[in-house]
Order: sequence, then C-alpha cells, then structure tokens
Amino acid sequence: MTNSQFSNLKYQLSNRRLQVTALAVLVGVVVLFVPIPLTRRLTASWGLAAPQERHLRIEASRYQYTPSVISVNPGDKVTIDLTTTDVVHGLYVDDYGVSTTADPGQTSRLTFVADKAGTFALRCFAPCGPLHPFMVGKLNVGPNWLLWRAMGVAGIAAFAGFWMIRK
Amino acid sequence: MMRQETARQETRRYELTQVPWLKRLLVSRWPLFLARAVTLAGFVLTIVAGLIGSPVGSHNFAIIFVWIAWWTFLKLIALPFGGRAWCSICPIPMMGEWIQQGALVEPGGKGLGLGRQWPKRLRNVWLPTLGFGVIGLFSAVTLTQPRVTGWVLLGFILLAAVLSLVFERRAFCRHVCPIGGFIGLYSRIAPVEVRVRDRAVCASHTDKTCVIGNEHGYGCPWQASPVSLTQNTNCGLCMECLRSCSRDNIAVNVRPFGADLARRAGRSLDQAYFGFMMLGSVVIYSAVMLGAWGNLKTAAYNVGTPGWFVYSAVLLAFTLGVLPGLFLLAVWAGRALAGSKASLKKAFIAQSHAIIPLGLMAWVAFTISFSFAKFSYVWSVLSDPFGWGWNLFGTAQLPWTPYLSTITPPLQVLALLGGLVWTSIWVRRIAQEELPEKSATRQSLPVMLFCLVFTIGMLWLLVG
Amino acid sequence: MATRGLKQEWLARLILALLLVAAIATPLAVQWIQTHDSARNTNATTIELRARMAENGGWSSDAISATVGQTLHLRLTSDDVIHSFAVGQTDWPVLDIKPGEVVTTDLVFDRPGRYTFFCTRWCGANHWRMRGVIEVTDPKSDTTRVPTAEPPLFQKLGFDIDAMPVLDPQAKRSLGKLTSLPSAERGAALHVELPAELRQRDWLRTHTPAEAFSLLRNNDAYGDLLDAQIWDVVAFAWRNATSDATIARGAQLFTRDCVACHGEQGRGDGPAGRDLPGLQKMMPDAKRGPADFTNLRRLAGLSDAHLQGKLLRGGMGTGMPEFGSLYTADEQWALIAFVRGFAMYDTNR
Repeated sequence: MTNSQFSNLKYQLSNRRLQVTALAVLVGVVVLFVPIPLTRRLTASWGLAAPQERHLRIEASRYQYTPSVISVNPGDKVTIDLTTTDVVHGLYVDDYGVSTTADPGQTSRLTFVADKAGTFALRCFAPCGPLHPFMVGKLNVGPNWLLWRAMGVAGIAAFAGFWMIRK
Repeated sequence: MMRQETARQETRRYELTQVPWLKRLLVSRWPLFLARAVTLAGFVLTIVAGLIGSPVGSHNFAIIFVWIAWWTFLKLIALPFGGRAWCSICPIPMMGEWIQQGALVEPGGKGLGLGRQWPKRLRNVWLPTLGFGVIGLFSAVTLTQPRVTGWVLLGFILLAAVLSLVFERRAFCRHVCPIGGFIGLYSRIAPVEVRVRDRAVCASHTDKTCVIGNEHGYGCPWQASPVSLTQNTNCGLCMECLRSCSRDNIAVNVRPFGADLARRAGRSLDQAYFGFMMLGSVVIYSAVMLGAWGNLKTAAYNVGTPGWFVYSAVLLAFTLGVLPGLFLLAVWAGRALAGSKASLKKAFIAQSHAIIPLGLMAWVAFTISFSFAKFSYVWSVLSDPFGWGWNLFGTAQLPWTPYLSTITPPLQVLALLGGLVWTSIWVRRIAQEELPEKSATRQSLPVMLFCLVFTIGMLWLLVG
Repeated sequence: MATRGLKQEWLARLILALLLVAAIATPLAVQWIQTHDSARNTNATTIELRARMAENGGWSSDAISATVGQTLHLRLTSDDVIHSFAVGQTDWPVLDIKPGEVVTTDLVFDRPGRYTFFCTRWCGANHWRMRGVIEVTDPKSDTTRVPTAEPPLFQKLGFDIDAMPVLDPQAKRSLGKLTSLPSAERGAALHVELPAELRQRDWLRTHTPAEAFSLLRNNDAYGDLLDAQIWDVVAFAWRNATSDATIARGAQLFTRDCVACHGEQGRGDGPAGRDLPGLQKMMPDAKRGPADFTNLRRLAGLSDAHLQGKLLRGGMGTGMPEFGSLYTADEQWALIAFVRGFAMYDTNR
C-alpha cells in the first residue's frame, strides 16, 4: 500500500468513526430526551388506560411495604390505606411530597393525584428501628420511561461500538 | 520505556506548582497540619458520639457524618477529582505517624517505633480486598448502629497506631486499609498527580532525599519512590517529596481524567480483584440497601442468623468468584475471537484495570441516591450531635426532607452510562497495547458485553 | 531542631491538644450545663427517662419516687422507635417521644399515691408492658400507707368476671334469629317510652342487655314489638344513658390503647392481637385472640360492670393488660360506652 493510499484510508476510517460516533450520540440524545406524548389515544393503543380512581392497601412492617411496588397510570387519583403490623411507620412519596403515618391497628389514608409520571420512592419517615433509613418502596406512575430510555442508550452505545469495530 | 516516555509527554498536563503561591501553599506544612488536626478532632468526636451518644442513627453525629457527609464528600468530590487527596488528611494514621516521626510539623524529632519491614507476602492489596468484603458482611449493622461505628473507628485508629509502632512508614494505609485500597485503585482516573519534572535530573544525583528524607521533609511515607512514580495508586498527596527534593524537581500537575489507566506498571492481580470486590459490592449494596426487599435487609442485619450466613456467602461468592469468573470468561472469549496468543492471566489483569471507570461511576450513582435522600440529617445533627436534646445552631428541629429527588434518577443514568462509555473506550485501548487494531477490537467485544450487562443491572436496581 | 522549628512544633502540639480536648470535653461540659441549667428550681429533681421497646429494656427506670409538691423535671428520649409518655389517672397531656430527640416536662403531684406512667404509641408486641410507677408520698403525713382506691363495681356486686355468661333461653333464642346487629338509632326512631329501670344508669351498669331484653319482652306494654325491635330498644337504652362527648372520649381511648389488638371494627382482629391466647387460656374451646365486640351473643350476656372488671383487671394469661391503674372512673365508663357501640350503635360501624 502506498503512503498516499494509506493516509487516504486513515482519513476515511477516522471520518467514519466520527460519523458513527456522531450518529450514536444524536440517536442517544433523542432516545433520552424526546418527550413521548401521552395522549389518550396513544396510551390506549399501548395498553394504558385512561385515568381512574385507585384504592390501594399498603401494609408496612419492619422493614418493607407490602406490596413493595405499586403501579398506577398518570392522572390516576390514588388513595392509599396504610396499615402497620408492628410499630408506627410512615409513608412519604418522593417528589410528590405527600405523607402519612400509621399506628398499629389504625388505618391511615393518603390521597393524591398522580400527575407526575416516572418512578418514585416510597420512604418511611417515622423512625421504626435500626434499618429504618433503608425502608423503601416504589411507586410507578406510568411506564418507567427513564429506565427504558437509559437501557436504550446503553444499547445504542454498545451497538455504536460494535458498528465502529465491524469491518 | 521509550514508548512510555512519549506517551507521558503526549498527555496534556498543567503544572500547578509553577504558580508561586500555589507552590508555597503546597510546600508549607501548616495548611496540611491544620486540616489533619481538624479531621482528627472530628474523628475523636465521632468516636465519642458513637460510643456514648443516642443509639438512634439518624440523630447521632457518628452515623450521619461518617456514612453520609464524609462518604458523599469522598465518593463524589475527593476521589474523582483528587484521587488520594483524602488520604493526605485522613486522621486514622495520624496518631501513629506523629509518634513514629516524633514531630507534628518539621522533621527532626525523635520518633518511636520498630520500623520493621512490612512482610513481603502482604505487600499488595489482598488484605484490603478481604477487609472490604468483611466490612460488607457487617455493613448493615455498622451503618445503622452508632455503637458499632464507634468501636469500628476506634479499632481502626488503634490498629493504625500499633502498626505504625511496629512497621515502617504508612504500612496501614498502603497494605491494610480497605478504604485506602479502593481510593488507590480509583485514583488512577483522578486529574491530579505528583510527578517528577525531569527524569534526567534524578538520574544525575545519588542522594535521593525524596526517599530517605532530609531536614526539610520526610522520605516518602508511602514508600512510593517519587523517582519512578508513574501512577497515583500509592501516592498519598502528602507533598513530602516536594519538600525534601534537593533539586526542586517534583511537580504537582493537573491532567485529563483517566490518564493513569494507560500505565502498565502497577497492574496486578490483587488490584484487579479489588476492582471486582468494588464492582460486586456496589451491586449487592444497591440491592440490599436501596431495594424494596425487606427480607434482604433483615438478613444482612441479623448477624449470626442463617439468613445472614446466606447473605455473607452470596456476597463473598459474588464479589470474589462469580464476577471475576464471568470476566475471565469474557476475556477468554475475546482472546479466542481475536486469535490472540498472549497470556490469559496478563490479559485478565490488564482488562480488569479497564473497568475502573465503570466501578467508580457505579459507586457515584449509588452514593447519589444513598446520600441525597438522607443529607438533610446533617443539619439537625450539627446542632444536636449526640441526640441529647441540644440545639447549638438552632437547626436541631429541622425536619427530614429528601434532596434533589427529581434529578437523582437522571443523574444516576448519566453516571452509569458515562461509566459504560468511558470503560468501553479503555477496554479497547488496553487491548490495543498488545494487539493490532482489528484484533484488539475483537478482543474487546465480550468484555464490553460484560460491562453492558453490568450497567443494565445497575440501571434496573437504581432507577428501575 | 532549630529554635524556630521547635516553636512551631510546640504551637502545633498546643493546637492539636486544644482541638482534641474540645472534642472530648465539650460534649460532657455542654451536657452538664444543660441538665443543671434546666433544674434551677431547688425543689426540682432532674430525671432522665429513656423509652425503649420492651424487648430492649422498656423504660430505663420504672420506679420513680417523689414527694407532694416536688417538681420532677423529666428529660424523655427514645432509643429506638416512637414512644409517648402518659401518666394514668391524671390530666397530664400525653407527650410524644421521638427517637433521638429529647422532650422535657415538669410534673408536680399534689396528692400522694401510686401513679402509673405508660406509653401510648404502640411500639411492638410488648408495648403494654411499658409501664412504670411514680410513687408520691406526703412528707407531712404520718402514715406511709398509700390511700387505696375504691373497690370496683364487680367486686361490690360479688360476681365472677371469669365465668362465662349464661343467657336466658328466651334472649338466646331471639339472638339466634337476628339477621343484623341492633341499632340504637333505629330504636330511637321507634319512639317508645323506656321503663324506669332502663332510664337508670345504675341499673344499666349492673345488668346485662339480655336481662334488659327479657324485661322488655315480658312487659305487655311492648307486646306488639318484634324481637328485633326490642333489641333495637335495648340498644337505644344504652345509647340514651350516655352522651356524644362521652362516646367521643371513649373512641379516643379505644383508638389509642385498644385498636392494635381489638381492631378498628372491634372484631378482635388487630395486628397485635393475632398471637394472643385470649379466653382460650381459660377455656380450651373458646375462640383465640382478643374479644370480638361485635359478637352480640357474648356481649349481651355481659353487664357494663363485668366489662369494667375485665378492663380493670385484665390478665389471667389472656394477653389483656390491666387498665385499672391507667384510667380514671370516667375514662373507664366512657370506653365501655363506646365499646358497646360495636354491637349496638350504627355510628360505631
């Protein structure tokens, strides 16, 4: 291979690497940030229902919530009946900032509208023992888009890597 | 050797010590001493609070300041940006070092100590690796019980002191401390370094005061001969060599992130294994502490119960067996794909160092959700460090509130994805050390797959 | 070492020593100042009381002595979960004790006696064991004897509160045919005039609803009422003897102290009651667990005095704590008035 051919090839290669990288980054950004419209028709066609009223029972114990994961649709009016089996526990919903406390034997009611989509932690804020800081549950409002987008981008990064390598 | 020289010159560096006031600041002993005195006093306060303060973790200075304030500072600031910077002001070895040196500031005191050489067999990070694993077995109890934190910290400082009296220099820091183990490992990516300015100058004289010390400075307490120092792993940023160098040939540089990953010196199996201990631990801690499974937490907490034995077995097997085993498989598959004849062990060790960014970013992501949600306890604990009803600064009644909960998941995603991309780049670069480009990329594929699976797992645990 | 170096060295040692001493001595000093500052009153004694779950030791001190008129300055804190501090048979407000925080209060007793202090935030299966005694003596009085309380009603009447109630066959039959629980509200709507006995509180307290039923059933004036309606009138009679305010107070006490075992609907299905033996301890074929207050077949055979006896004395291995030392007489009757409602008032259900 002559010198000029070699340098041409090198130029082409690096250009291609640049192209693939740029494409990957662009697609990644799109996947991560483009807002997905949650119109009723769209959500209905994806199997998500229209907003409804939901009544859930959560039982708190040391140190978890049962059920530990609750899923609702965006826009649902959620009512949670919190009971506890052993000591006083609390329930705080991240980002929504709503909370309640329940004593054993007494049911505590928490109502809010799930207008923010995403995944939120349910935390106990009434000290209930040594592992209290780690007592956590999960609220899914709509599908966990951040997780899927992140996995999508990870996949794209991997694919871009493979594509660059493939020759 | 020649290749390394040119490689080093190619990396952009900015020398901090060429700025006169910065150099004076770094060389002066007082800023460092004051910082150390403060951290030692804080450490003593922490131990006292842990031992006699309220048993409620969220109202005890020991728990909040060690596992939330200091841990966050270490993982998010000191380590990624300063490498071993924390080690330069860490209080644990200070008592022992001061007794060993016989002086708090300038050298010249009459020290105490046997000054024995550290056993050759243990001149590695196997002890810290196992130490970190053992910490993991008791982490649920340590992080939540002030008494346990108090005793553990007291044990550490006494151990460091005893080791300083028996062995030479900072044997504890280099070969025993589990925290030091991972700080050293991850400091390879830090943008700060202490290096010799010009090797020719070192070659021109024989009195290596940077190693043996003189009236201006001690010989390197970390036994990391500055002459041949090419990476951050064992440099504690204590600046002694700056003071003792008779030719003013040592500089503190700022450089791009990840520079030391290319250095082949210092790559070893024990370091590689520590990398897996960290990688595996972050997965287990994320599942046990941040997951919604109560039975995992109680199993990890109730030491001595069958559940705890299962948890311990799983933790040790995963970090020391499963994860390195899977990685070995990936490296082996890569070698087979690339048709490489190089030693499997060498390839394993080399590639294990490529996943350092992955581990660091995973710990950053874990720390973000672990600490932001609980950081508000810091203010109330400052006013009432013992949980005795004090209100020193008026903040004792500040209610708990999680911080930045909206932005936490996206931040974690960025950290994890960033780590994946960063590591993938280095996997390929390190493979290229031995193989031509095409084969190197083939070798990298299974390892990148390993990193991808790890990232997806961490994403699911933290963000899912 | 050069002189300048020596000076620097000693300065450094001084700074270090000061910082270390500060780290160790400051907490102790501040603590000393705080505890002695808050008890300026020479008549006051500072007592630190740590609340812990019974499994972790309960109250750090379960016996406190005081004299009449002496100020007890209490520093209360919790070492594990949320507790609270209440003193039985007094008007002291209940204080919540949050873990890691200190709550202070001053207690002054003007009458000698044995006062029980207890926790009112359910803190585990052994929550009811969290009790202690403050023994208040009068230094001026000659006698060291603590005045005894008046014997409860069931003792005065002399019946055995552990015996299973036996219902009159007529009442029993009618209960078997009831399709729903009686309602005091329905009984009120019938606008019947109650016989004299059913308007006397003392009669109502010492007789069972079944006896009231028989009284009405065997009275021709109520002949055209159905059995179910007679039960509604019985329910009304009980409801009529008490007031909304009393029932509200009873509801408060029930929620605070009983709901964890007896359940929110009084069915005996509370989370803390599930493992208790209940009456099974004394009678093997009885139902396990706390009493079901909606079971009229049982409740109809128990008089208020009987219920009061159970409340006061508890125990006998059933898992029911004694509340005699905790409740004033008014509180006891209020609670019983409320508890009747599970079987007899619509508003309870």
